Amino acid sequence: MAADRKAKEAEKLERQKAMLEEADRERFDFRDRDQSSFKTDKGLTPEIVTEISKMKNEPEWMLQHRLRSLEIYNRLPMPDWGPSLDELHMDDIVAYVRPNTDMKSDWNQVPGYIKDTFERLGIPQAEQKSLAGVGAQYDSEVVYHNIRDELSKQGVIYTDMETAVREHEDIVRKLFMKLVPPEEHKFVALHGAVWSGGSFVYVPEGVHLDFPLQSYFRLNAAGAGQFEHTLIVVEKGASVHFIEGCSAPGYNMLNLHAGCVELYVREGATLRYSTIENWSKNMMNLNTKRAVVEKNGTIEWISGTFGSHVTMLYPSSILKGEGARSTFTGISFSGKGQNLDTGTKVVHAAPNTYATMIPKATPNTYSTIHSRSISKDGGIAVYRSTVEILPQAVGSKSSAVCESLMMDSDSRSDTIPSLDIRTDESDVGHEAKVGRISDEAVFYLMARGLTEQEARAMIVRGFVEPISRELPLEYAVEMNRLINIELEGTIG
Amino acid sequence: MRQDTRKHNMRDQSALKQDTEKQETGKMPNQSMLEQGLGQHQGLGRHEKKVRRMQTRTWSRSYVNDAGMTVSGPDPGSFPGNTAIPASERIIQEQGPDKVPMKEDAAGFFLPREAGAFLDQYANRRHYLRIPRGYTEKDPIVLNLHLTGENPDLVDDVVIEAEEDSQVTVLINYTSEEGQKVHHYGRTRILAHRNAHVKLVKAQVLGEMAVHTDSIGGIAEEGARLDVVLAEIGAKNPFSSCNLVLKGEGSEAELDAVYLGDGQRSLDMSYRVEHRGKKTLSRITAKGVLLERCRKTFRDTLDFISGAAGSRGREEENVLMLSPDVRNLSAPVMLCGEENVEGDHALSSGRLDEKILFYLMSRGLSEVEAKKLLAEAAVSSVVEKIPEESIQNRIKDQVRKAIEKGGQTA
Repeated sequence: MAADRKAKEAEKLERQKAMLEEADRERFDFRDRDQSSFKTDKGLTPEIVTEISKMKNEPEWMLQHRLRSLEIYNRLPMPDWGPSLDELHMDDIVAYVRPNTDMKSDWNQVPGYIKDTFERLGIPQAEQKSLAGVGAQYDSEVVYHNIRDELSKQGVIYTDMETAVREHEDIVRKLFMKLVPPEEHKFVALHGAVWSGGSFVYVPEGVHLDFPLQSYFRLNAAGAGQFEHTLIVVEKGASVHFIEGCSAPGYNMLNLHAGCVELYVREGATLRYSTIENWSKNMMNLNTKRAVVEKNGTIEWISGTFGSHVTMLYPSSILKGEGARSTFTGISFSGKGQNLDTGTKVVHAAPNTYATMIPKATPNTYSTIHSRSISKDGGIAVYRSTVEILPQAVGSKSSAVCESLMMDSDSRSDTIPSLDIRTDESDVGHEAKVGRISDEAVFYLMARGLTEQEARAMIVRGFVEPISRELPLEYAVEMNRLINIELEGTIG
Repeated sequence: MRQDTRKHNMRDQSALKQDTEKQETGKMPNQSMLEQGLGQHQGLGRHEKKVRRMQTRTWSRSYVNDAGMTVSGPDPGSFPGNTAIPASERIIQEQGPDKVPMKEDAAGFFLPREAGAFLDQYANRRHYLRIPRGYTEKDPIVLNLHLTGENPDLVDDVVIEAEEDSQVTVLINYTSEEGQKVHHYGRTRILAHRNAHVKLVKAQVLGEMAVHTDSIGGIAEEGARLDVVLAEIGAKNPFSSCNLVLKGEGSEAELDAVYLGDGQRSLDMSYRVEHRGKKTLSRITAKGVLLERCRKTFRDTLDFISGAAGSRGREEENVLMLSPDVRNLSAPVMLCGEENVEGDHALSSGRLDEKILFYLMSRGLSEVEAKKLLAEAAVSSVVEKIPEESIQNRIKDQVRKAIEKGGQTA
């Protein structure tokens, strides 16, 4: 068995060497032979959607939801703004790929090739060390799910979405795609029709999770779409930190990721949602994330976007209850051939909401959050945001700071915010900056004995530091590593 | 690669134009329809259409992508004929910008093609001012355009060409008879040659029944400087755009805008500076006061084109909201295709500081008086750039009146 695995691994490495040019991505770029038990035909029909639903043993309402979403998907036009999606041929994307394994609760029962993948990504080790629970999704199905016993005793539910639909129907049915309805846009309608996998988290009233929960998504089959659905409910006074990590190996075919995240933050609850996305550079990442926050609740978004060919991702917060807060901390790093269109939306819908979307970094303010982007080698980084303050949201405050670093003139960095303020009893500020590494700073560091390359790398690390210090250690390390890789050979 | 980036940028721009062209089937008449209308001699009437306002589109729910533009056609001869503007003899004046070879039309960036053609054909006030090489016109050249019940339609087309090393200030002042339904549709274009310095002040203090649609374009060659001061104070639904292109190395632009919104009015402004030349410098400053149920959309864009190395741009908008029902929309956009630039923007929006208000009221001022004082202070830095005291006072008057009318705490 061990010899078999070794041989397989050697074969994989060989293949990878031959096929991949981007040597730096090797940790994420290993892939397995396609061993899926079931694959839908290319293209999308009501029959396929019904088949998916049947395979999953879903209740009738979910099938109806899928069919309704499909109908909306066919009706809605492509967005008329943002990066070009011309390269996306929906009919070529296989909607559903299911690995030939059922969900296992013991890591040793997971098939070798899948386990290898996750081991190489460092998931089980991370789980053993610091995480309260891990959900790993391989292609469309969650293959491994575990949650520490004591959490289960407290009534915390952490399971895959399919199980949740069947076993926690009372909670799921009321909330599933109610916050992000399929009418929202074409890709979320597609998601509604073919969603598969993802995590369901329920934290009961007053429960505080000291360790983060983590889900890691990975796309393996070429041309496969990933449509995972994440639904998190944090009840009154409870708190949790959820980490989502994404990566996919590099194939020549274009992949699509159209996930959906719905977060319900109840009265006085706190949810931190961290994401590091490092999709391979052929991924179209069209993801939709939204949180609704009730009275005195807090949503904290930490969002890092490194990979993908095109990303359109704007985590949004609806501040529904009085005293609700949202913070958004984002970074994107756009390199060759990448168009990363990211940002955030905030809707102040209730009296006295306070959104520190990206507050000032000056020392005399108490918030320490930013949106920062770096573009190099012809990469396009776009910051797009909207802040909406509804008439009833008196006493709202919102501030945003957005900084962009240009590494060369082949790249682009655009800032496209919009603000819609409908009450005078609000304070809204927005600041943005674009620029390059200052020669003076480089000169200063070089005068202190650093080489130019070291000096520039140090400045870039300093630029992202406010974001990386918000991340859990292993993600911060990963982000720094990614930045070092991205910077190599481009500066100095 | 550098070319690619430029292409990307070009694509954005041409997309804007294409889009406006595409909408030709909208309500605005095309050339032949206009001619028909003229043939019937019934005036051209008012035409409205939705035009694209954002260089790069964003979410439709942000309500900033498009706006309704109104163009009103004049009855032939409805406005007092073209007359010379009082200015020194050295200034060359001609009637008709059609004689000016406009290699590049900066105003056309926001103006749909057929709306420009409409102006070319039907303008009833045409002025072409040329400031000769090396000449400095000391006093401002003032153009007062007053619309009345008898002369309700004004379509003006003004071109200012400043030759090398010349300097000029041009002030265009729009007013109208109170209570009259009047229409203004205009375009002003500036061409500043090497080291020329042009200051253009446009003060729009039309009555509340006026329709006002205005478009400005400016091009600055090497070392030239454009100062544009825009006051959008009156009119029912003022709709204006300004596009300044810093084409030559070391050219500069400074755009100061002040606006007032009250009642049920809707203001729509789109201002943009394009940094094309090396070491270009720009600043956009907007100050506004909003009251009652008015709606304001302000878009300002800094566009750093690849190759504009060493450029710096800053945009800033400060909005003072004095009523709970105002709608305040902003889109401070910054587009950057060049590494060696510094771009900055800042926006602040809020109501009066209650502590200051309380202080003033404790000194014996009524709430309305205190608000007047503070609102005046908020806009004064821009208003004071208007080189004519009577217009300054008029604007301040309007602000005060608006606050008397709608500045009470709801």
